[in-house]
Amino acid sequence: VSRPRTLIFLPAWNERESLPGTLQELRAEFAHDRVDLLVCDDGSTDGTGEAALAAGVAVVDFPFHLGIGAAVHAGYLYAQRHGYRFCAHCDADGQHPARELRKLLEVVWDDRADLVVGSRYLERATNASAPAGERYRASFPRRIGIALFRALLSWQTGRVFTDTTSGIRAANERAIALFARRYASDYPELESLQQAVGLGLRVEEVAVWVRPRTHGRSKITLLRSAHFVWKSLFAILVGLLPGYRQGAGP
Amino acid sequence: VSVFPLAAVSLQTRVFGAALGLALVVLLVELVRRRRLQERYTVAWSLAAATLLSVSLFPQLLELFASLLGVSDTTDAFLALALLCCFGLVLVLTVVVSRLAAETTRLAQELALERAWRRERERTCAGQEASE
Repeated sequence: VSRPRTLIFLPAWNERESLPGTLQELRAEFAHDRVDLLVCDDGSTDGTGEAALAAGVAVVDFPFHLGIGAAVHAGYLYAQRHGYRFCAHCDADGQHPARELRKLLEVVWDDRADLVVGSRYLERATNASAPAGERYRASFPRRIGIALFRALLSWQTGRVFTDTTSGIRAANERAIALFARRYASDYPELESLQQAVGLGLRVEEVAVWVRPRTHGRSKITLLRSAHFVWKSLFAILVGLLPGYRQGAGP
Repeated sequence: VSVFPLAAVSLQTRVFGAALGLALVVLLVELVRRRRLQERYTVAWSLAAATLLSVSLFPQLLELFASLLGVSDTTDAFLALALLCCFGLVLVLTVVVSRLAAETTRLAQELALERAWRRERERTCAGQEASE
């Protein structure tokens, strides 16, 4: 089946070690599709941008660190301005297998949704089918936070999202247009879900298997988690107010 | 209105407050004249200066504020008012910083997109030259 022109972008901040492997895996997976790769280098200081250029992919490089929201936003802007009708993005650290990204893209390619979010928690079966010892399991505080946001977002949107902080997604041109206009800056996954559901986009979750990290450390620390909880609670509550402009620019 | 006996504002405090308010106005005008302060930010500061001046010239306002607040000492009311002015000014600053941060982010994104665009064009051109 011939698939439409699609952009896959990877927001990356100091991921030089894992980036080449991630790009190679994506190239192999999508070798027979019209897929272009882009790295959004979020002000890395370890040569991530150079590594991406050396690998021959397009690079959007910020002069300084702006945060994951700005990096993903730039990816959507790139997709829109270069006329892509479909795009997908995932972590650059190699945690998201390329095959899982394909599962997400199939859904938007087949027009079964406008935005597809890969969920680590949707089906126990998927996680169980992962290689032994590679099942994804979140830490205890993280599980509490996840449960809280799941409940709040479900209450607000009237539907259940099992993974509200997932960074592996696929989008069609409707979602691209929405996120190119505005994408939240600090911890954007939750707000973007609110935004998409609020504006009537078809949002679907697909179960994905996530690998443990191979290089580097997670950038999530206790303080950042606390900030995340606070900001997201605030965002959800403000989003509940009547007249809040979900689609408005910055 | 008040259930507390109010201590009056001393003349010294009033003179000090009025002088400070006037100095603030002069400083504002001077900063704008030298293009060191944009006119739009004089609104918040002028409100602060006006508050300071009016309570110094009309201490009855301060007494009213003290009774509303439920404090017996007008000096406490004065300090509370000063603190409120500071909060207001800092809040205005935070709003401005938020806007500037959003604008800086957008500028950096546009710069990065532009650089990517140029790099790809150069690569296409180099590819064409090589094939010729």
